[in-house]
Amino acid sequence: MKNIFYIPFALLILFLGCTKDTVKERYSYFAPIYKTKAEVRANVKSLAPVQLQQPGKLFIKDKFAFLSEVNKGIHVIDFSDPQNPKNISFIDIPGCLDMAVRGNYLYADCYTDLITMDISDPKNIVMKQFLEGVFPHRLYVNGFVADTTRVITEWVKRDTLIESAFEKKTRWDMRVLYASASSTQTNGGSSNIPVTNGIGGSMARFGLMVDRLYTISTYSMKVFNTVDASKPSYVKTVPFSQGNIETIFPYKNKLFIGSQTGMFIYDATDPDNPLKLGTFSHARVCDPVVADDKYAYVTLRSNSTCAGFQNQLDVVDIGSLMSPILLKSYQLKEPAGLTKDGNTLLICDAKDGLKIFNAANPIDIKQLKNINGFEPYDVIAMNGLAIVVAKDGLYFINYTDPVNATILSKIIIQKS
Amino acid sequence: MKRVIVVILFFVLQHTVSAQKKINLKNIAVSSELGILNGKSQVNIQMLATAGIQKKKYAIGLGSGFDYYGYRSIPFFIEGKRFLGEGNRKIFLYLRSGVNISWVLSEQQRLLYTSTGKEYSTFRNGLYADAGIGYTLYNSKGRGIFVGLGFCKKNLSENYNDYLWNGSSSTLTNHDVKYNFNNIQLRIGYKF
Repeated sequence: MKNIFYIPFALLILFLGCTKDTVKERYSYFAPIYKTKAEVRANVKSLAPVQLQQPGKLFIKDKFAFLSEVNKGIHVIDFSDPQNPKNISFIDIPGCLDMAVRGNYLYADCYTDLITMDISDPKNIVMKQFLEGVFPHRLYVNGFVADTTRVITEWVKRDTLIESAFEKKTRWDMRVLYASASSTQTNGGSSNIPVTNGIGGSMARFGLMVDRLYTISTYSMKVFNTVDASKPSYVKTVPFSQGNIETIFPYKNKLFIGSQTGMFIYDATDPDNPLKLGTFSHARVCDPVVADDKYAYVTLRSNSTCAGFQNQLDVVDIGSLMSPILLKSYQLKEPAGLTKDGNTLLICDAKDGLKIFNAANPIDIKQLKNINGFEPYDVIAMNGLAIVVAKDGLYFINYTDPVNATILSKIIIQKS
Repeated sequence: MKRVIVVILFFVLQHTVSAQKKINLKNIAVSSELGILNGKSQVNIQMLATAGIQKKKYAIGLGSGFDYYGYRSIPFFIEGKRFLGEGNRKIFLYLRSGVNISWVLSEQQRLLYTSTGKEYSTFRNGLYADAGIGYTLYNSKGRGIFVGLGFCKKNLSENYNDYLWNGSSSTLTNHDVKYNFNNIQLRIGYKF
């Protein structure tokens, strides 16, 4: 018993020099797995179909839908029978977010590069061109700077234990890393683009106008010459006067650019030198846009990514392209992608589902049908068939008779 | 945990009161003390109160207080003392062991802004241990000042979520952090 109290002495001497405060932090992080560019190029071809997991942008060409799998590649879906669509192949393209189709050629980004593929046989897609370094902004992803000599093919989860010394801090406000809209959102649709080009949508970042491909990033627009559709060439970069640019919608010889603070109208009569005409400003929200000859239809969406407080459809009179005027606003739940086919307007309205409107009179748009039970965020419509990307799958909807629009089929998204 | 502490304190008080009938009041040892905690990352303070029984060269009791070193916490411990020598001025050795109850300041919690609002980190309790040597400067009634020098060790854990980039989007990832604080204590106290 006596000796037990001499133990503190021993402990004291033992620990006197050990006054370091330690922190052991255990967490998981995601690390990139690289491949060489040669390996990636060799793999850009039709592979066996894989399940949809995180769909991105949608592009339609004839009876084929090209649906990007965020940062992984493109699903090729044959919907010649909309009641029984088939996922026929997958193109492995690391870093792919956006795409466009012109004639028999599919253009897609592969991080900083633009890939051109021959899709004349959608079951046997062949890579034609690899235009390097045209999207330098894709080098940086949420603070991560990739190795420029190689290509990230996947990200793997790793567990780690970090030991460090304690540092006295007060408020440790953590990094707030909201998923960027560009990485998680997809397109709406239009049906008025010339048939030689595929059909993109209201939330696309790639847009085709005749023989030019326009791509946008947060701060600039790039022009590519696609006169020879198999070999697009870089023309120039057009800087924007402000950032937060999100979408591009080409219509006739106009480019409608959606940003978080407004819609910009560019004249592309000289296709290599788009000229800014007018601006329609609004509060800070996300704003996909489609347009026709007289009006632009802008959905304003506020959420954690987009900020703002507005959830509505704005109909903008673009009779004067220099000074577009707000005609009327319609309240919605949380609208995302939209498309217009003739007088029929289709809007993805989050948990409220897909809403179909009669937009014959822009100041008196009437809802005809609300298909709910799913959460759509992107839609392309053409000739009575709407292809809708939702959180749980890719839907095919017949709206030939809008009042009685029905879901024909669905390809399920596999949850990881 | 707070309920457990209250129950334990109740039993200690009850035992102390009932023991008064059997034990001489001189054997009751109640003291409070202030400590300066000196570690590699900071210098901070600790305030403790202990109550127990002293008999001959040994004392045992329970103690608690506030410890501001690293993250604010409430140590709750059992204390044992061994006195060396006779009289009112003598050396003693002490040993304390118990739990370290987290009571962090709101500004010490990590904050994450999510789409649904704010999310603060949560802390879990750890262990507390403290050992050293002291010297009493008591008066003839066995009351007075005492000083001490010792080594203190306390730990606790924090759990928080953070957004990490997974290559295509930001995903919530859980972090588990274990803090281990070590410091030298210089303390001064008063025995009532």
